[in-house]
Order: sequence, then C-alpha cells, then structure tokens
Amino acid sequence: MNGAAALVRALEAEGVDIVFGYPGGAILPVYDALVDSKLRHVLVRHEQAAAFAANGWARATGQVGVCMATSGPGATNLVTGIADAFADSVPMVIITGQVGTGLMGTDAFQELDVLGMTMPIVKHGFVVRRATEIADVVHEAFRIARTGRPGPVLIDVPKDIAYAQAGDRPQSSVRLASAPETVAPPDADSLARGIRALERARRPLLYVGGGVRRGRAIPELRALVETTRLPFVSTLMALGSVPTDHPLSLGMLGMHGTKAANYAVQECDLLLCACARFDDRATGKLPEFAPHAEVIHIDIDAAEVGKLRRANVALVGDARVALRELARPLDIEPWRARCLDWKRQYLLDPSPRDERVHAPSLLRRLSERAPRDTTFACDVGQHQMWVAQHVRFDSPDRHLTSGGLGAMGFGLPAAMGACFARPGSLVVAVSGDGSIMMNIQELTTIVRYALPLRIVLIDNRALGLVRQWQELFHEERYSEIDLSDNPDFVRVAEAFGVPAFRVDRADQVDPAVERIVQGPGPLLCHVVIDPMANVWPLVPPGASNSSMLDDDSVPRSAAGGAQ
Amino acid sequence: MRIVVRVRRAEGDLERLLGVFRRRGWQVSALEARSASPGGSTMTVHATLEGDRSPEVLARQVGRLVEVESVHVDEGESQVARLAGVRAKEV
Repeated sequence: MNGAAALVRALEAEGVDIVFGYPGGAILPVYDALVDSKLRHVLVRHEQAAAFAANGWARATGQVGVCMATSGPGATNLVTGIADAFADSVPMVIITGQVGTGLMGTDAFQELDVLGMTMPIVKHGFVVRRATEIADVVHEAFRIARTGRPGPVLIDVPKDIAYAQAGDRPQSSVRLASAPETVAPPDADSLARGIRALERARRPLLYVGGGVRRGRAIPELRALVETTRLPFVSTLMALGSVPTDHPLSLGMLGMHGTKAANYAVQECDLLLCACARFDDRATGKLPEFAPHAEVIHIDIDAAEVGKLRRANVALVGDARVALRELARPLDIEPWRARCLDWKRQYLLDPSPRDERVHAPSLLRRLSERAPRDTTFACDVGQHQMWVAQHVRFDSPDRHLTSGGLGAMGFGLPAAMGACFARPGSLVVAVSGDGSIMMNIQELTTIVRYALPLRIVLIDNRALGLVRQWQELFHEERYSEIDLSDNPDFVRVAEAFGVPAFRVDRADQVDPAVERIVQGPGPLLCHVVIDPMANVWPLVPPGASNSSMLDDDSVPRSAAGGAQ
Repeated sequence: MRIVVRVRRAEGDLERLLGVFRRRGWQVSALEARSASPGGSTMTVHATLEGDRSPEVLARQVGRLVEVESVHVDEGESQVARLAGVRAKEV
C-alpha cells in the first residue's frame, strides 16, 4: 500500500464518508487511491467552494469536514475557507498535494509553502515526511481538529511520499499534544465565586456565544435558562442555541442587534458570558460595553478570557459543567420585567412599506412557512443580517453563517455541504447579488449532484452594506458599490440547469414563498429589492451599543429615501 | 517582558511561535532557541518581547499552539513568574 492509499484508508478509519475537492498534478496519487475507495468525493468547480462546502457540512453535522486540493493554486484557493473555519472554530481537515520532497524549496512548478502560508489560520499544520507516518498524521489531525476548541488542521502531502510504500500498519507516532480528549471542568473555587456573583446580582444577563454549540452544551444552556429564568442575548453564531422565539430571548446583540438586547447589556450589573469572545461587532465601543457589569466568562479556550474584557470570574473548561453548576433559581423579577418591556417596545418591524419587495418580510414569511428543521445558509451582507434578525432558529446548526471572517461567497457552497449532510430536509441558501457572483460556478455542482437546494437571491443591484455605510458615514460619496450591470440571474441559473423565477412586487411574495417551500429543488428565486434599503437598527462603527440608529433616527436626506 | 516556551519539536514550530508574538502585538528584541540535544524531541525558546498588551494573555495565546508544552512569563521588574502553559494545555 502506498502513502496515498494509506491516507485514504486512514480517512475511512476516521469515519469519513464524504470529501469535497478538486484534483491536480501534485495530488494525483490521492485521487488515484480514491478510485478504489468507498469515500464519496464531491467535485466542485473551484477549490474555495470545496473548503466552504466541507465547512458547511461540518457546521451542519458537528463532525470534522474534509476537503482536498492540489499544490500551489489549489492550496491558495482553499485559504479563505480555511480562514473562515478558523474564525468560527469549525472542525476541518484539509489535505493538499505538494511537489515531491526533492523539489520542495526549489521554486518548482505549482510549489507553494502551504504550511507557512496557513500558519495563522489553522490549529496545526503537518507536512508528511515519511509514508509510514501518514496514517498517524491523519488520526492526529482529526484529534486536534475536534478536541478542545475545534478548528481546521492542514495535512500537506508531497507527491513522492504519496507514491512511496507505507506498509500495512502505521509504524510511528506523531502524537503532539498531551491534552486528553476530555475537557477538564472549571475549578471549583471559581465556580463557587460565580454562583455567589450570580446570586448577588440584581440585573444579571446571559450572553450566549457560538462556543456553547461547539462544546455540545446546548442542553445545559437551555436548562440554565429554564431554571434561572435569565433574560438572554445571543451573538450571530449562537442564534438558536435557545430557540430564538423563546420568551426570554432579547435577540442578537451588537451592531445590527435588537434594541432590547443592546439596552439590556448596557444596563445589566452582571454579564454571564457563555462561550462568546467579546467580538467588536457584538460589543461596539469596548470601554462602553456593559459598563456596570461584573463578568463571569465561561470558555474552553483560556486565551479568550481577559483578551478584550477583564473577567471577574473565569470559568475555563467544560461549559457543560459550568452551566449545570450555575443553574439555580434567581429572584430578579423587576429586571426580567424591564427586559421584556424593552422587547415589547422595540419589536423589529418587518411590515412592507410599499409595493416593492421588502426582504425582511419575505424572510419572515419564509421562516413561518418552512419546516422547523430547515437549514438556512447565508452569504455576507445585508441579507445575512436580515436572516439573523427575522428567521426563527431552533438550533444554531440550522444557521450556517460566516461570522468571524465575514466571507462573501460562503453561502452557496456551505449550503451544498448542508444538502449532503441533511438529505431529505429543506436547505435554503440566502445570498446577495454581490456574494453569489463569488461562487456562482457552483450552480453546476448543484445540478451535477441533483441537490434540492433552494436559493433566495436578494438583489439590490449594489454592494448593499457597503453602500449603506457610504450613505451614512461617508456623506453619500458612493464608491464602487454599483452592481446595476448584473447579469439576468434567472437566465444565468437556467443556463446552468437550475429552474429560476423572479419576484419584484410585494404581492408576489406569498406565492414565491410557497414555491420555495414546496419545491422541487434545485430552484433559484431572484428577489429584486429597493437598492436603497438599509439594515436597521445600526450601531455606527466605533460607537457605544447604546447609540443605535434606525430609519426614524436618521434624517431623511441621510437615509436617501429608503422609506 | 521575557517569555520561556518549551515546545515538542514539529515542523514549523519556531515560525508558529514567532508568528503568534507578532500577530498579537509583540516585537522580539532578543531570542534564543535551543534543542536539548541535536535532533532532540523538545526545544526551549527564550525571548524578550516588547509590547503593551497583557503578557498573561499572550502566554495563554502561545499555549494554544498544539506543540507547546509550557509557557513561563517573567514581567521584568516585578519578577512575577507565572506558569500559564499547563493550564492552557488542559483545555
């Protein structure tokens, strides 16, 4: 058995049944080994889509996603998808071909130092130097990817190593870390201090981050909410950790968060941070974030504690233990009532304003009509925020969104990954006219594999979020945001073999939503909206979260006729 | 600030470590890296760093590297030493 065959066998031994990739010269031996394997390989049309599809598959399943590409340009094209997985702590193993070891360091054809290039965006990277080690490297890569705070791990395989004899059994050990697969609980003294702080607080608030899902602590989180009756706010990554229509949910906090969430954060006297990382999009101006609050910070990653906000109580380790221990009834009724008053007072208003299509209304209608187990994958921009604000989520695994990196082009391939992960359940990709063009070639992949994906393409003929910022913060000096020369997306989709239709009036929304939900897929719904539509509320960049703008607070001239 | 990092040898180990120093806002003003023996399985890196962020947070960020076994930070005049790596590795 050669190294490539050993690699494929090791992937099978890890339980991998699907790999997203694109072949090329240096990875030829691995593709040769795939011919004799039961692994399902999904051929995409651009390596970036392989990384995003594996990333979306991993987000949907909670398991390690796998992608592969050749050396040089194959590897560089994977980079955005790897960086995205790193930013959002998504477990992945990335396999790249490499030129032969004798050519490495000689500027050979399609040679690239992918180990060096990816160092800041992986948990770890390997170059396989001996064929006999290859199986061990694969197993160690999977262990690292899924252990502790998950993330992407690179395996670079030189071509001569892939062709060399590996033997039938692994002959070496490459285990690097001493860390066990189990996660230690937070220390008992800190837990006791956390319990006392929570019981002492008069205005405590729960701030839920994406790490709760990664730490498989959702049942414990939900139990804590029911026991404490704590009002809670969610980051983008955490939406659905507790169902977003839960009575105590104040919604998403931060730049495009709800007023209730941001007001509650600003007024609370204790912030119980469950596996969030005080990202600038969530906190606004950091020194003015939760200015009256003590902080209890639960995180599996010690490096997150105290990075941006000092923790009065640090609970580093297994979030399940921390959340279980903190779940005690709290006597906070006046504060709870105040939070729920804010929630009632500042409901997001999705009602249409005129005969044009109002994207939030369409998304809310789609969310009402779609089965509760529908997966929504987003691209990046205004539509991404509208999905976060208006789609109901019962699980964060049903909301695939590029949070930390904010990578346009994520949506379509991530949705493909979700289709493979969840055959038989509805998957909707919500994209924009800017984002979809970054991976539109994947319409071919969708047709090739007959994926029943529904694509909702929200088209404002502009880079909408950039346009909104130029309107509000750059005195309407619009610079390179005009996409009014977009192609006819219905004809584009049909040329790829994807049935498509257009919606450009509000009275077409209900039948369109029915068609999207009922199918069949694949299907693209091209939604034409007002180019001047904005996302509200909005915390201006660099401002405190208490300084929220909405369409009533912006002078009509500055709002550019968005109403 | 002085930092002592013990790593299990892995391809790219020193680059990874220096990359964390730079990305997290620190500048290296002195550096020594030595394997216990030629071809040895571990290496110890002593570095003097300049920066205005928290040395403790840096120690935990260094501790995230898979091959790092321990991190020891010495904040100059106060001579306060902390063993941050072990805690970071546990998680």
